[in-house]
Amino acid sequence: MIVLLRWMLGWSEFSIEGNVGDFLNAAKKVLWMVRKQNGIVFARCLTKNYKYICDIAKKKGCCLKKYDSKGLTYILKKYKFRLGLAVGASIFIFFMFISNFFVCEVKVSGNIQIDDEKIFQVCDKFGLHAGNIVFNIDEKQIEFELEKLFPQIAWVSVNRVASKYYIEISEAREKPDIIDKSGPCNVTAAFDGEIISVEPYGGFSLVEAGDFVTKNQLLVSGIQEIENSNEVIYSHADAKIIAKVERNNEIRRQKFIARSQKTGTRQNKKNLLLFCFKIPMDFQKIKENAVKSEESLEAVELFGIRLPIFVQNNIYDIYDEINVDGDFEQIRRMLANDQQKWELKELAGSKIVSRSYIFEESDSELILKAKLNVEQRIDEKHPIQMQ
Amino acid sequence: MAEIINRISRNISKFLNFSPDILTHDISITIHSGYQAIVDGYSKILEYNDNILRISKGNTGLKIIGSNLILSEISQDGLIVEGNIYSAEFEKRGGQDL
Repeated sequence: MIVLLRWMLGWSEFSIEGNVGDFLNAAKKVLWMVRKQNGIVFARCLTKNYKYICDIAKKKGCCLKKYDSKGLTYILKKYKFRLGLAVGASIFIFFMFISNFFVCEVKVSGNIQIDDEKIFQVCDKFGLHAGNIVFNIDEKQIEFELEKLFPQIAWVSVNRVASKYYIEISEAREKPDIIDKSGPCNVTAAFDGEIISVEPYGGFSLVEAGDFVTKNQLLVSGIQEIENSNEVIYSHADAKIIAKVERNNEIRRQKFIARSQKTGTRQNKKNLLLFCFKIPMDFQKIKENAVKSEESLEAVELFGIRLPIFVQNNIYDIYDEINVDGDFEQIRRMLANDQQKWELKELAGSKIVSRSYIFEESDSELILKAKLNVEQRIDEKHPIQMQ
Repeated sequence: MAEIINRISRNISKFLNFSPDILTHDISITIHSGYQAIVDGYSKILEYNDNILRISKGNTGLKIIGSNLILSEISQDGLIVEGNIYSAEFEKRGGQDL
């Protein structure tokens, strides 16, 4: 910090000859970097103190010789006749200052269920979009509206850092269903299969490893009758039963694929780029099926001088969607992808022992028939209706 | 008189288990690995060249011996010496200022 301050104020380096000890004692308040090189003592002081140092040197019978002067003041002195530079720097600082009062960018974070677009639409309604003046924006109102419109939001904050706005969202987690472990229930098989392991946690197990079971067969009972008595005991049956199961799945896809094709028509849109602001030069709306294909920048010139203002010319190609006969391999890949998604969703936590895919073709569709041998949980609880 | 006050201050700081520089304002020196020395509480520079720096306060003197010694910062009662510092010696002369 001190070094920076000294550089900003400007300092001078000089040599001292004569009674150096007395001179240092008298001028020690304002000196630094005192050193002796080749028998000559050098020191530094602020340029504004140099005259004071000269007076002390005269009194103490020393001779000073200035060697070097450095600092911001000397740099500014060098450029004092360059008016354009000063004007340019002033304009730059002015625009930097002014740009603080305009929204440059809006960023959204923390949202998973809600689309960014929907949030931006709400923000737009309340003036929070790039290019608007920050004084017109009521952050609290936007927070309130977002919370009101999206019930998924648990907490939201709109913060401004310089000219950027950050919308931080924390989404609410859905309340999980409460598992009722108090009521009596039975455990039945969800699929046909061969049982590999049985881990009963409650009730009376009716099957064991190696048994073959069919769908809806009772595996663990929640009802037990006591021998030689009419008494019946009801309990909450619970078990982890893993079985070898054969799972089948069928996925269909149309043979033709929707593909977008250029119509040959083009749309032009011009913007004026001024620092970080993009000002549209016309009011035409970009069509939904338009894709940007070219972009060019052209600097604005005034009396042959290039200004830091650019005209951005965007050219959009208009596309139309048409149905074409799909590539057989491509559809197969899409079907395989769909099947993988199904496996990830339906067989989560299960072990796939083997799988086989068969592709069949109908008039308009391609069908994937998957056959999988899986080791998975088959226990399914069914409450017992008490009369 | 100054010597008496100094002695009393030393005794008080000894009794209260304080660091002596709090009450006595004597010369104190902190040397970092032989390349930088921070000196506090001096009043006069007696001698300076690139091998020796002699400073004093009252009847106490301090001689720093080294090579390429630079006084990187100087103030009214403290200074920072940089360079290759070999040794620092205190000098005392009873009742007479150095």
